[in-house]
Amino acid sequence: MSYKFTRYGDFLKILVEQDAPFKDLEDAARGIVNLKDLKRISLDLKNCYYIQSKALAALIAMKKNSAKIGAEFIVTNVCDNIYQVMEMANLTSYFNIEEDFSSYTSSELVEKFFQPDYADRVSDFIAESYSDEFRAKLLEILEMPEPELKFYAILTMGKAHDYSAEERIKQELDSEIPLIVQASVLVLGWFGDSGSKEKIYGVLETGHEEVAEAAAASIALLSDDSDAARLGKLLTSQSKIIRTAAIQALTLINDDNCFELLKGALDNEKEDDVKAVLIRAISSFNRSGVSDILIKGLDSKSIKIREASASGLAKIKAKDKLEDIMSRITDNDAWVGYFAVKACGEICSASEADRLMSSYDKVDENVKLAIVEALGKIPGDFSDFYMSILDNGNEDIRKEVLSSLFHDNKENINAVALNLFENDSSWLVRYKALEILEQIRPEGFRDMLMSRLAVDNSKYVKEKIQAVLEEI
Amino acid sequence: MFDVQDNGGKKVVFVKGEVNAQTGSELKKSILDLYNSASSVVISFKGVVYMNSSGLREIIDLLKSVNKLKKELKLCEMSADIREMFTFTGLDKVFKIYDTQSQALG
Amino acid sequence: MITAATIKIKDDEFVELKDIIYKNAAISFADSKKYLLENRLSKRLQELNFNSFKDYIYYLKYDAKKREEMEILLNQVTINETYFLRERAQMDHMIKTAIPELLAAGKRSIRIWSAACSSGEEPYSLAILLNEAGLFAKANIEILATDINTEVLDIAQKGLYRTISFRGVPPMIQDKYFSKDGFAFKLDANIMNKVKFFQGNLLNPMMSAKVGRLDIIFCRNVLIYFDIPAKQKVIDLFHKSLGMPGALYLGHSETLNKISEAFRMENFGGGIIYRKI
Repeated sequence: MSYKFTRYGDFLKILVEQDAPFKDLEDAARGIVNLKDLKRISLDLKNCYYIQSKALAALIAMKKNSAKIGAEFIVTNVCDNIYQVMEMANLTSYFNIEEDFSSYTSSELVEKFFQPDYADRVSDFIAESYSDEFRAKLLEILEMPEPELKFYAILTMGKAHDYSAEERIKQELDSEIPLIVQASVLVLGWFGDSGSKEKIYGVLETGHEEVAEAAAASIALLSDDSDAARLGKLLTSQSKIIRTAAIQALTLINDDNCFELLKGALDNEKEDDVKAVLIRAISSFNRSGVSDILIKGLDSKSIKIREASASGLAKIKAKDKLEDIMSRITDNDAWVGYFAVKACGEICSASEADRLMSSYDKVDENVKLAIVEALGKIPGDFSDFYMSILDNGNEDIRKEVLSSLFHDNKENINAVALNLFENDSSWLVRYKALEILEQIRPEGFRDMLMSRLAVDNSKYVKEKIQAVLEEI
Repeated sequence: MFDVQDNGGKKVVFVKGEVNAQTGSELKKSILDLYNSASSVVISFKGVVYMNSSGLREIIDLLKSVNKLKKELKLCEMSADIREMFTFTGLDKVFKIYDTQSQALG
Repeated sequence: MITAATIKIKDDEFVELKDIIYKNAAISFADSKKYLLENRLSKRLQELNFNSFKDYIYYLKYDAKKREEMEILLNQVTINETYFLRERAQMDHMIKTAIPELLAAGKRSIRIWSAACSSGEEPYSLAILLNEAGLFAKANIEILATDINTEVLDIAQKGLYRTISFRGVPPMIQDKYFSKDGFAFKLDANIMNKVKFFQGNLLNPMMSAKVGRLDIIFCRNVLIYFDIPAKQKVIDLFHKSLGMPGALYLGHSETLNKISEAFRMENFGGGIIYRKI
């Protein structure tokens, strides 16, 4: 037999061997009907690298038979090859496809650390189901010469709060390989290992981009009253990377002292991109005076600084500066205007929304889009305005109108969304209309979806229709 | 500085205002007490207007204690700024963080 | 990268971005690869002060510099994240096993192909390790390196690398073969001369004639982007181009199972080598 049934309470796992003949899969499908009291059945394909199209029919039978006994059917650990075969047969949305790392041995799992697409999730899984076996495996990896494996092994031990590994991880601060140093620095920060702080400063001062960021994070987590001053000195370093890391650490520590240091650095910093980093940093301080600094930044000659300032104003919701912000809606840099409008969306009241609507005809397309979006966030009903621009030739405008109308007017939206879903020439708009209809679920929704499925010419909309049909 | 809502064995803590060294430490103690009568606590950051690395350190400490108790701690409803503190320090990989309260409870 | 905050992509944003990428580069992203876009693009979004993918899509559609941004986007999503000595076990295997085997079989001229060399880290790593092992003195070794993307080839031919390319490299090697040049590091000219770069598409029928007869092929983390028929075509090309004994190294997640019967898989502990049969 090339498959195995394993039962865990009301959950059944069917593990299939490599190259299982489709007759065996058919056999497994038949076997399901005789089982009782199951809520969930999973077919695990971790050992399969290919699937015959005949076997797909057996998979469909499994799903149907699972439904007959009232169990949910899922397919797990589908490799890219098989996924592509399923895609060609239009079956990827028919099946629930999931990952199930519990099917793998610890050696198979850690080998997945080599694959960037999997590594994070595998690491999460190991940390959550941490055991002596996993610990032994990870310690074994720390003795191997593979940087990728070591990187994830260290992070995983950190996530699992394995303090017994702390001394071992500390040794890796001396590693020659930046990736490994980066992981060790982060984990020692999580562990609160103040004893390593001095060494971590050393790491920061190497000015290696990736490790410097990690060092900044951990120094902040390990900081005491003396660190702000020490980091402040690094703000004048020759290296841009070190200056940026110091800014990041001070932002995390985020006390009065840090705020003053960063303000001072803004006056002395010569490079525009570091200045933009400073502006972003300052906008995350909850202090009076921040909005003044950002407003001043709007007058900078550098577009980077102006944009960072405008987005900072949107972030801090600077109510006291509404007038200054509104005057930038029509700024000659459309992205400053864009962020200014976003800020308005956060802080304006209905009476102030007129300014946005009257600016609409004077601004670039992206700012127009931001205006429609912002109106949706401002309390009040601006349906009349939306309806006046609904025939706009730009698909994004129509799409934004749908979203905002959905926020503002639950009565109008139904008819408008139905109309655009059936008649709009842009699939983007039809897709958005469908997302909204999915939430409203109007009468006759199912039938309408069936008929649109037959005629819509966008594969994205069709896939979405299929997914919604599955759901309802 | 916070409200507690009971959700059948799971408690939701709505933190308000600032999370710094002092408030964080008080928060940690009070939440640990909640585990006397709950196996899982969800902290909502919706009402948090400010947090710094000292506050973050107290939350890590809390997680450490919760893990020792073999109980569950989840976080939700963070502003972009607070979320960034977790990602920048890599702590988004250490904590279970959810967008909404219902996802955290679900 | 672990320290950059990731920005989540919403369903409608993902569908639109994947459509944009498909139209501009014919690369398709399955739904299961959503996080890949999040991981690779979040940092860029933050640089532009954006906090949603919608903002970024609008930037791609409406900014005056949208064409430049499209290039940045495509580079982010097509370039394999690579660095010197990545997955070194296979390279060491080539040095310690595959090449000695060729020498033992009497070969005095050896040709190696890095079949999707990106910005050059892989072929240069091979050259560095060959040099470290003194193998250039024992045979006439030629390293060919090709990629479809001309931009990455430009980088490769300049031989200038940023710190991120050295994350797997012991400083001893870095100091020996690279010299600091501003914020970057310049590769030693003697190593650069060992690698011959040219542009080429693995699916182009002319490729076989372009590369000629080979002994060893590295083609790592590229097949994942192809569908099955395309994979078969590429593997066919490799098989035709390799002499006997010929060795093929693929990425860790890649397999020839059901793609080709013309290679024998051999697990050497630290990785896998496919041998021509």
